[in-house]
Amino acid sequence: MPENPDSRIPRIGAFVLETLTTGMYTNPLDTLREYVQNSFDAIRDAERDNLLSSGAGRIEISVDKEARNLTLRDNGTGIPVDDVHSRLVSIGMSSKSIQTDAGFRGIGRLAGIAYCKKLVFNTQANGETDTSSVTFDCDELRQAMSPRMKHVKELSDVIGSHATVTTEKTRKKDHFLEVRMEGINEAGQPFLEWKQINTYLCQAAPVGLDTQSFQHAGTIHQWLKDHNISVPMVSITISAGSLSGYQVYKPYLKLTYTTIQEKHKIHVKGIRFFPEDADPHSPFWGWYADTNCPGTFGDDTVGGFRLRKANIGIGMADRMTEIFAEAAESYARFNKYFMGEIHIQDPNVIPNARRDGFEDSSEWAAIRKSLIEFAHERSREAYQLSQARNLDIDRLVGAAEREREAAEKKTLTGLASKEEKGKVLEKIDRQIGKLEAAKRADRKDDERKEIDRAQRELQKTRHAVESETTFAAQNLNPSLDKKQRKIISEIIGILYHVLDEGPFGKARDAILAKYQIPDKEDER
Amino acid sequence: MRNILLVEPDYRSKFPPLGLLKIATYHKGRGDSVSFVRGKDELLRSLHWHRIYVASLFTWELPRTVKTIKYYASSVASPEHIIVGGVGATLLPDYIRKNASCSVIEGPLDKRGLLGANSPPIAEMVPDYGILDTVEYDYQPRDAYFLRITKGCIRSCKFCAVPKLESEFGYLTQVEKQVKGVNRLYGERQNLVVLDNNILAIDGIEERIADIRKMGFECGAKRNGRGRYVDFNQGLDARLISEKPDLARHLASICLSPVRLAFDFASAKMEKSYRKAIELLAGQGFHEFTNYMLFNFNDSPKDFYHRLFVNADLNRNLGVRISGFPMRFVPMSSVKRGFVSDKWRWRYLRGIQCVLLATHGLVSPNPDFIRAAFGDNYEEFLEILSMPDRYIIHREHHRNDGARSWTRSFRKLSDSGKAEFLDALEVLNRSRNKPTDIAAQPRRYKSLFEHYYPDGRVFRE
Repeated sequence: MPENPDSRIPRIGAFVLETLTTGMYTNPLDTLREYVQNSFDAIRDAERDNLLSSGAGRIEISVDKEARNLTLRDNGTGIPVDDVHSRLVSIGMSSKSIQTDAGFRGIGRLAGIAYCKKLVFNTQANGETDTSSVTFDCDELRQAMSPRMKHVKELSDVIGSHATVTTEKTRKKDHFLEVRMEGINEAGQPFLEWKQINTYLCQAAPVGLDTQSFQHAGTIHQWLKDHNISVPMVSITISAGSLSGYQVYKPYLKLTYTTIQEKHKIHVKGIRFFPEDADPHSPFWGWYADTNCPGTFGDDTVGGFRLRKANIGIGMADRMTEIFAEAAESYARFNKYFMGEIHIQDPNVIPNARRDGFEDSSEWAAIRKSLIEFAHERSREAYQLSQARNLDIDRLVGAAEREREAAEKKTLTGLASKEEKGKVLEKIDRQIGKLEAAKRADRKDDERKEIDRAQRELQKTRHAVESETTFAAQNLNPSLDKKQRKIISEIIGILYHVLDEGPFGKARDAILAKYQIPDKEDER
Repeated sequence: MRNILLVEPDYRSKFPPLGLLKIATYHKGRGDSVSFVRGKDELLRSLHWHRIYVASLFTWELPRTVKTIKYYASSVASPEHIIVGGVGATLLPDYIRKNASCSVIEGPLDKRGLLGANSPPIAEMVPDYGILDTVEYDYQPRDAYFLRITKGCIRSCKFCAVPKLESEFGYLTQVEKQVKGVNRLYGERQNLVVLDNNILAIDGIEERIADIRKMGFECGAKRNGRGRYVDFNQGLDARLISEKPDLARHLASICLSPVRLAFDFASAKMEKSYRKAIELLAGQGFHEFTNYMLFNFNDSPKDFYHRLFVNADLNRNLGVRISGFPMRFVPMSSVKRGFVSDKWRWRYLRGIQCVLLATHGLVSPNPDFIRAAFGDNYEEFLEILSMPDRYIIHREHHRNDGARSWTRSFRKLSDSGKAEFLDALEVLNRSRNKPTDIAAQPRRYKSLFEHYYPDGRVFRE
């Protein structure tokens, strides 16, 4: 380190900036999310100040692939000339409130440095007659903050010498902030691919549901209205080449999806909510699609529960996959059997700096606990459905038939005791349960009929078993006296307890053959 | 707010798809986002669209149109959100319905409610020229107003689609309103293209011409130092001009260029009207003409040749320049271009195409060109059309190399021999197994076939 003139002020090396910006995010497009978040906050401020009517906020992204530029512009409050330096040049001095704003750390704004030659912010605040412009020379900055630099420079010196602030008079009344990434480099290629931008933003940005295409969007909106919950939203459009002003929506669109291997169709039958009695003060609320749950969603943008805070995606589907894994390791895969969102409302639950999870807190821990339980329930549901579905129809119906035959045989030869009767009923019920589940899964019509038939017959047998009140010992030869009959009955009961099913059947049959009145069937 | 995609299939089209441009205006007015693309685009297909509109034009491009519809089928929630309209869809709606699932709108978008409850009449909207900037395709002319002042036509020519597309003739929208609408939204344009079918037939045509004049298109008009022009692109009815000579004077009051007239059939009456119209217009100082010449309908090659020389005659006698613009007839029910009427032969139609190849479809007004290209007399005309493609296209190059020996052999054939030979060429052209079928031809034509398919090879220019 160079000599410090005032040893009481800790000095910060420029390479720290790299850790705070590029080192922070895993996906280059996370930078775009930072800009969207900033714009989103500015728009919500503008709405609070009545500069914009609710819903009039716009974020317009345009990409010029040939010139390798990306521009993002919002019609939020803009930044007053006097604040430009503290808000656009200083680092981490953001005036944002953790409670009301989605982005608040004032760091993300510089993340673009890694991906372009020049990073330019243009802005005008409402009521002002100047537009301000801050230009960061990214090539120089990157070099100065490289950990490979032999002479470490002070962070504020570096930024001070590579950022230019200018103001210009304007006659136009406006309020806006525009971010321009000029001369986007190889690492920033995703910023030039509008398809990737759309795929990213539709999952991460605070946009609305596509009510025109997603038939269940109305159900969700109605539920929110009934529960007095509001979800903040902003309009984002993308323009690039032939694409002009394409409106970004959340990716939920269809009533039918396919599983990842395209083997099964996933049918969205309705929407479920949890907790069902949520209100604006609940720590969280969520919705998810009621489906036949046949497997992992093939569409990567919709599969899995997604956490959102202030309607901004936190960690895509990964956080909930972890929560499912916590319910049980083997349940991790079930997250992507579902499609839904979990909106965190608790103001004390705060996204971490990378915005791919939440800071540890007792509030977050409590929510986590509820979510693990929820994941547990969903996994069991998915598991049952998948068990039932994976069974081959012949095996499924075959097992039910075998259970039915065994039960019928027992009613014929006589149940050993009340206890055995209970066991038989239990077995029948289990089979009926499997058939029920199999019907909920996707089945062809003829298969469904076959399952229905097996289920009806099993029900009939169940009824017969249930109404059976005479047990094996009661059919014993009337020549035996009451005491003898009691002893034989007890012996059969004891054998039932100590022997396995096979040997027991054999022993019972042998005893009955000797002491029972001849079977009706044998008379034929 | 909805995401709307407009698609023009990637067939060759000169003018911008005005229907789509008007639909763009309608949707933008609703606050929707509108993107425009020509043909298939993989990235745009990968997005979800609330509606996709597909244009259609010529019936022979319907197979390509259907492919385009199917290509985008997965990009909408359900097939009825792909909406297909335009000329082709109006002429053969069932072909589209049978081959693709989509909504087909027949006829013009001139009524309320066609694009959704209470949608206004789209036909009256100002086209959104802005969307053309997002595609690379070069529509011509770039700097022009496109106008429709009237709809329909007073005639009912059997070869023409207009009676089926717009059954009633009548006045549409004021010139001033349309021009000012474009000025307000997209700024002033240099030239004016009027796409009417038969504008001269409208009552009070003199006032309509005056309307155009008042918008800055008087004779000799200039804007930014460059001359402006008005183009009645679909042609003027020569019969109406010959009946009402005053029309020529009115037309001369605007910067009309070129004058387009049709000469679609060579009846004596039509020829008389046509000649008179040209004379009247030439008398008003018009010099440049384009002549639409339908062929392969009820006409014969002889009629066609005759019409060529009517023009050569007029050029010489009146000192004007009439460029011929031959237009090959295809029945409105056909989705292929290959129709051959019973008075024509496949080889002759092909020959005309080859002659026109060098001049982008135009017959030059130069009498020497006409003679050189189409022959000194009718027999020579037919002989030129019968030649192998490359002998016609590269006439000079092959003059001494092949063409002479071809001519010698061809002239040796009797009339019936020539007919048989030309029939054989047509069959061969359609053959899917050319080498075998070439080998199976009668020996007496062997040496001639050698010119079309050297060494039995399938020769491609």
